[in-house]
Amino acid sequence: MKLSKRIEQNIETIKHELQNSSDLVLREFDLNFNQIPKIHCALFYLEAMVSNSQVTNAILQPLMHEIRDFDERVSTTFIKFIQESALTIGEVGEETELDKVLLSIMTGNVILLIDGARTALTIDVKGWKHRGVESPQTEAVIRGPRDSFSEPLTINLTLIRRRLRDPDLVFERITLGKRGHNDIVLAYIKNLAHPDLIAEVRKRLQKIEVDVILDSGYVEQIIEDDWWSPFNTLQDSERPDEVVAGLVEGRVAILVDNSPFALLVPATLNSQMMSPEDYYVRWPAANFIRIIRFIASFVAFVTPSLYISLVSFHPEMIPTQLALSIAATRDGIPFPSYVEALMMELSLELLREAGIRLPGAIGQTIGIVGGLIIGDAAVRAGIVSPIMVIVVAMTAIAGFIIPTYTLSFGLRISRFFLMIISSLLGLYGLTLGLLLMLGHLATLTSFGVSYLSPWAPLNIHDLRDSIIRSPWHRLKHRPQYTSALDPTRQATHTSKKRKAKKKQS
Amino acid sequence: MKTRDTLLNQEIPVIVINVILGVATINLPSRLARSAGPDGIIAFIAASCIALIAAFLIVCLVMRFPDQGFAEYSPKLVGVIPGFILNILLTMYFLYGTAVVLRTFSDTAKVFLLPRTPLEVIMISMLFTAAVLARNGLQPIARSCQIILFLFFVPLLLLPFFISIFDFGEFLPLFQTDFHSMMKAAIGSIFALTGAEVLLVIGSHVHIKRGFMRLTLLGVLTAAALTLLIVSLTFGSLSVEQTAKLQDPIFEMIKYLPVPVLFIERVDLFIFGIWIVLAYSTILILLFTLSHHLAETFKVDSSKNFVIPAAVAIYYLAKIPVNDIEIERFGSFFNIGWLILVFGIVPLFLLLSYIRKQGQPLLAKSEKKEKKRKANP
Repeated sequence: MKLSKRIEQNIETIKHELQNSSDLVLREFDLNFNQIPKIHCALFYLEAMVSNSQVTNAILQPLMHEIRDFDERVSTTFIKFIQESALTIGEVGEETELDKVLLSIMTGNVILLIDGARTALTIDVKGWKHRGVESPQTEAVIRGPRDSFSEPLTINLTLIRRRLRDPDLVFERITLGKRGHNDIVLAYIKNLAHPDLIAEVRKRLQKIEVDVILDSGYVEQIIEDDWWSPFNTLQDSERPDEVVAGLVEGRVAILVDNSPFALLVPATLNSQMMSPEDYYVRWPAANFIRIIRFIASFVAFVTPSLYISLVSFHPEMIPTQLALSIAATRDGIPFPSYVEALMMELSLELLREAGIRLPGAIGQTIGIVGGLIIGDAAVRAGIVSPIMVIVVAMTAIAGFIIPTYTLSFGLRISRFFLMIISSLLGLYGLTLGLLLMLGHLATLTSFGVSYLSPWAPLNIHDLRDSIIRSPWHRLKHRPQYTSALDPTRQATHTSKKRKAKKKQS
Repeated sequence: MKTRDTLLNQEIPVIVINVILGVATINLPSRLARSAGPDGIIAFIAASCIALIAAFLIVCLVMRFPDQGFAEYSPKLVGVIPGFILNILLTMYFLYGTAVVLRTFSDTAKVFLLPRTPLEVIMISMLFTAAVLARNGLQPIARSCQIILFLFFVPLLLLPFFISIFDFGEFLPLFQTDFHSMMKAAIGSIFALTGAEVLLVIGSHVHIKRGFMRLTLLGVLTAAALTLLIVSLTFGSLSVEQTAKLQDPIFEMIKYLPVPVLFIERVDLFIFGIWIVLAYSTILILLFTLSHHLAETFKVDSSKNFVIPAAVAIYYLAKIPVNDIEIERFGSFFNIGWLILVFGIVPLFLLLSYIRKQGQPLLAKSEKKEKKRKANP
């Protein structure tokens, strides 16, 4: 529907379409001129979504006081004059369609209606209150940048742009959500990210038909390859440096307005086991941390089920001294080991969930009360054995080492599956469970890339940055799984050049 | 993006090694020691040569029909009805082979790990685990097998370092067995080296056929070398005489290894876990091959729907033997079936393909021609 020439009609229509909402502000005023009759105007905007000072200083003041000398009747020249000479705002657009005008108001723009004009001016003076750039909550590092994404998309794009001043960096904006009309940005480096990958991401995004997108988690779940898997096939991160690192590897990032988490595709198990810090510290330290991390992940994954298998089915595998010690601690425990293990693991999940939901200080108290006091009391009461507490504590600590929060979720869910199958069939069940998990991981793909890459299919080149990271000067090429158009990441390392020069001299 | 059912070149040896190494490896040393004494090593080398020749013939046939499975080209070579009968026979062969592997595995698992668990539970759980992945196609299978192979390689390569007693004298004197007995021992041990015949069905999934022969032979050779290493270690550490008396000498050998891992005492059970993984990979590949062959025989697009019926058939077939002797007999029948398939049907098909001018010339030849053409345009 087009806008009318009559301002009264436009005002009524907009008020009617927006259900006369209480946060809708209508400011009517007249433009007074020295030589021509006054013109009636109206501003529409949503309260608290615009900067009031900018509305006053950059819109109302110039319009009401500084254009008195204009002497032409309302025409396109007049609209142009206001747009280009009167308003002191960076982004001003024109709209003739009512739907677009309404959407513009909803986005946080100010709409200027002029009597006699079929065109409305959309003035970008967005200015709502938002959280600033803070430290990352789930991906903290010791060495490395401390800023993280925030809710406003513009801030997040700035955080990326500040790190990557590449003219080939593309931010492709897509509006999704039938009711929410939320902004989604597809970020990639042109001439680096594979066009097939970009096209596939774009295609999947455009297929989304939901009411509203409240977080990048919506997008992740809708466009992922295997929706039934406990493992995520899109990597999420709240760290701009990690996203930029992904972009220069030839991956594609998806940013959602009002979400502090960006998504990276394709994602592999290997890529999610990496922390940005691995690249900031020297390679021996990075490798040490990585090896610890991989071992810890395995420990977190299998320890409770291994305990169940050994204690319930194969005590002969445990050294005699240790077996006697375990038997002594389990003496008088009323539950079989698998019930004990399941009970303790569930308690741990309860504590973890309670700790997250409660405010910071109380959350910590829950950890102390739950972990120490209740744990100790349970052991003293003879409900659980001390060895079980050690197993659960070890599992929990090892689980916290996994750098990606969503990946640790997948492992936690799978751990319960392993515990159940181990309770049924012991070591044989544990092996079958691990094989089922392996088979499942082998079937997973992320935008056509094997989830187990570079281990399966084996890619010797990409192994340089997996469990072991080569020194920076050896990481000359981008990972091959992204199929980046430019495979070279860096030229010969400067120290090597220096050595070569020394030799020459 | 690749489709799910393509096989990368590097995955050919992985599949071959995984399908070959399996349950038969466990009692192979005792079988060789019983039938040929210290000459068991020579008998096994002879068996390896037979397996290599068999793999060569299989790959030659696959290369003649690079884009077709056995079920697709067999009617073209021998006619529709005989072709169909041969396809059913091949189905029976894979069915039988998988059942033998499953039963042998389940019996050993029951003895070592789960003495109180019914055999049926062990068989069903293993078949179920294999069926879950077999339904997902060849590519995930190949990926899993790569990881499995790595899991097997590391402990196997570390094994010699932990063996404290090893007597090279156990391999001597050589050539004390007559040729007939030696060949009998070689044929008897061939079950431990069968598996490359799966390429008759899944070979068509390898898109780039360059190096196919080399990679397949590499796979067979690696599997044979690893098995030979295991047999040699068993002979050297337990003695040939002792090996001949034991049913599962490998586990006996490993049981007393002084491994410096404080929290595990019975290392054999840990190794048994790895062996479960190997048995799984063999059953998995055979189950997929079987269901895929059925799908091709009945011209159905997806092999997914044949996996569960095939698994059920394998289960019932595996339940038939009542004791170890019958299982052994089952294995012997399978050996005969393998010999007929590889040295009867495959050469016959090759011959017929040349006579009837069906299929393509071997890629090596066509490559040579291309090179010539490029050299003399």
